[in-house]
Amino acid sequence: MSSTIDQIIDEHSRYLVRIAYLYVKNWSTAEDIVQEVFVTYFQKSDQFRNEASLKTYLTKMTANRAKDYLRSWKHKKDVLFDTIFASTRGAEEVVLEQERLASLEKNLFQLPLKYREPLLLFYYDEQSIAEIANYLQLNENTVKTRLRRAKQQLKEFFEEEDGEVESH
Amino acid sequence: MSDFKRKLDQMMGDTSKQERRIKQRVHERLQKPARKFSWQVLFVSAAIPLVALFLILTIDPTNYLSSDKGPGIPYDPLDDLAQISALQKKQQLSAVDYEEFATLPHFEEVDGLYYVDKETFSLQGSSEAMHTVIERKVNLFDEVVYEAGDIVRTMTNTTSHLPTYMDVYYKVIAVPGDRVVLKNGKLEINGKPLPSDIMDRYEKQGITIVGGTTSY
Repeated sequence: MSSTIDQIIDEHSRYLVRIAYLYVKNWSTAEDIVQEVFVTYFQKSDQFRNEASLKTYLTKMTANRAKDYLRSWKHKKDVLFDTIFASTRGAEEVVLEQERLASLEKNLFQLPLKYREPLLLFYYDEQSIAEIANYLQLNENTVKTRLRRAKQQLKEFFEEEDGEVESH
Repeated sequence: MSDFKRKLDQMMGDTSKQERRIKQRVHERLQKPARKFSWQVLFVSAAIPLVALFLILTIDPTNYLSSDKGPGIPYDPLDDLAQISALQKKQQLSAVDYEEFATLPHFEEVDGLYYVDKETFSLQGSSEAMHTVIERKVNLFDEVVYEAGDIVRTMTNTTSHLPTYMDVYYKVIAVPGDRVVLKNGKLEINGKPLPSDIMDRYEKQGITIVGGTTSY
């Protein structure tokens, strides 16, 4: 049993913690979310139906929990706290990160979730437009529009990938 | 892998520490032993509703009325209003039967109001009316100079609806500050019942009086 657990965690934790981070912009929270996802899965794995791959199932659970967190009062309180102390923290982070990646991070998390979510599902989780539209309960054209607007906001990081949204 | 995805991975850097922590914490959470069965918890859980039921059945809320507490405790008229409104809803407030009153001894009618007069009194061991008379002070709010049990004679010309007789004596049953409760025909002073010949008569006749008032 323990070896099965280790195997599943080793296989998916790297990917899931990154997905969670791309939602919540906080490594500690991302860890908590992924931990909860695994614990829930192992406690109720008998309820897991093999309709989708385990990776898809765990990714959806992670995304749902990340969005729950973003709606929570705890997150709103943290955002307020970050806003108040933005000047000191921001300066430290810029020094620590490589400049260009720091800029990507800054621009990425400035995107509202409704643009950031399709972007990370499309480019990072590599879902199709139809899959994203189905998961977010949106029209495919709406997903495409949001992706295009998200790309416009981050166009300096997409120089080599023009036209990918339409062709994916 | 797209270039943008590679950039995102670079942006997030090495996450092996996070992955190790997740693995460790998932194992800790899954290996937590099941909670031990506790007789104490079972006993307390079972006892709480029983104690609550016992208290509900045994505590008489009327014993806690402010009107029974005596001097020093603020009187709360809401106690009485709540009881009166409850009695009104049940249509249990008394209706005065004036004919029944008229047949009682010492019946008086003053200014259109009906009264069953006070009891006659005399000192113990003597058939004569030997009374203690203490005059009320000029200022109504001066310190009380008489106390319960004293016999007094009214000297002031009051506008009260109570009957006023010149040279008539009254026995003091309560002084300002005492709580006087007339409830279901029984008069209580600071929570203690006052003996009453009339109520004894009513009890013998099987008559009950419902309702009452409180004053101090």
